[in-house]
Amino acid sequence: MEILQTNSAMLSNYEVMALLADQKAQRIANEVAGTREVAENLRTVEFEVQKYLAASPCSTQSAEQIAALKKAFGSYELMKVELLQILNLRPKSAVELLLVIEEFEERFSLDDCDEMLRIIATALPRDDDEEMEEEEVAEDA
Amino acid sequence: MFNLAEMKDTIKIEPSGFRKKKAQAITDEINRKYANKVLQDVGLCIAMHDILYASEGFIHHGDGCSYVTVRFRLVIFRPFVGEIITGKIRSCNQEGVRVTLGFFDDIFIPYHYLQDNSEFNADEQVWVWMYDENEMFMDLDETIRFRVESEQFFDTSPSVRPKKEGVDTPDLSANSAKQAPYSLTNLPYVGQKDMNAVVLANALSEIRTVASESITAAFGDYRA
Repeated sequence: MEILQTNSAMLSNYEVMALLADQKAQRIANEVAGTREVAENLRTVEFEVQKYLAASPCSTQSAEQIAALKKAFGSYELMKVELLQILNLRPKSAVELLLVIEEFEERFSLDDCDEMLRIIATALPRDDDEEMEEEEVAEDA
Repeated sequence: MFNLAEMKDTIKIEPSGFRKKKAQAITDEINRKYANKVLQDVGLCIAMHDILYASEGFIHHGDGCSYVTVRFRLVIFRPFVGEIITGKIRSCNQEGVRVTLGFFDDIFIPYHYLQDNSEFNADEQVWVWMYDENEMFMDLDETIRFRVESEQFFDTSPSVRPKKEGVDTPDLSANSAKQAPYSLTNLPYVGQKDMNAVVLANALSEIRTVASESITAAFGDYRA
């Protein structure tokens, strides 16, 4: 065993989820009759990672949405890791956004913050946004 | 959170695998060998990503297996220091809070990294954050957001593992102290989901100042 490069690229949660699903489908498609044995360690980690990712915001993302988000953020000078975290965590409020972007106050204005949140909400739509709002309204009432 | 590592290895395909397509046989073997294992200074391997190159198979004298030299990429779980992740609280004790991601459990938040005014409630065995006279309980299974502060790798091969006190048997694994091969130490950012934004913002500014000023000092204490 030889490690050539420890960090050759970063993956978003969506890519990992898509890869695992794809690999599983491949495995079933290529299955030769009578050779159905999947390594136990693979099954365990696959199941647990998929469970974690299914509960995370990436479960409703698609490749088109991610491309659209990247394009919409083109005008802001964000680092790769910042964009990656926006994808993985999908910030809904200013606090969450400020967490993932370093030194936000110095690099951007508050208007930028609102605009970024709007971009995220439109590029990565999720059903539970409305539910959350309804809950809040119910609580207020 | 996830990244790719490029590796080179000689993969052994047993004759029973000859019925499969070559790419599938190699993929299965690599996954069997690496999935769910921690590689020193690389991270936790999840699964194979792709095969970059595979040589033709060699069959050695006296052995029916086919040996293939493969260059491939693995999906690795290795958050960078400073990354923010959400997880669930697995357990609490005097020392701090343990967090799990489901597939990775060795995440620990030492007590001095918790929000200011946090107390350990011995009756309930949970940490409580006193915020403006509100008691915020960090209940088990609660979703928590934290920032990775540092990571440690330990070589867990039996020969170099630290010895357990007072035990001396020929069984190497029973002899040695249990130690996670890869673990993360963290700063919590958000305890509970139902806190409102203002609370969070305040907490954050506090944590930020604490973090910038005293992390090195605090960490020294913790290590000692």
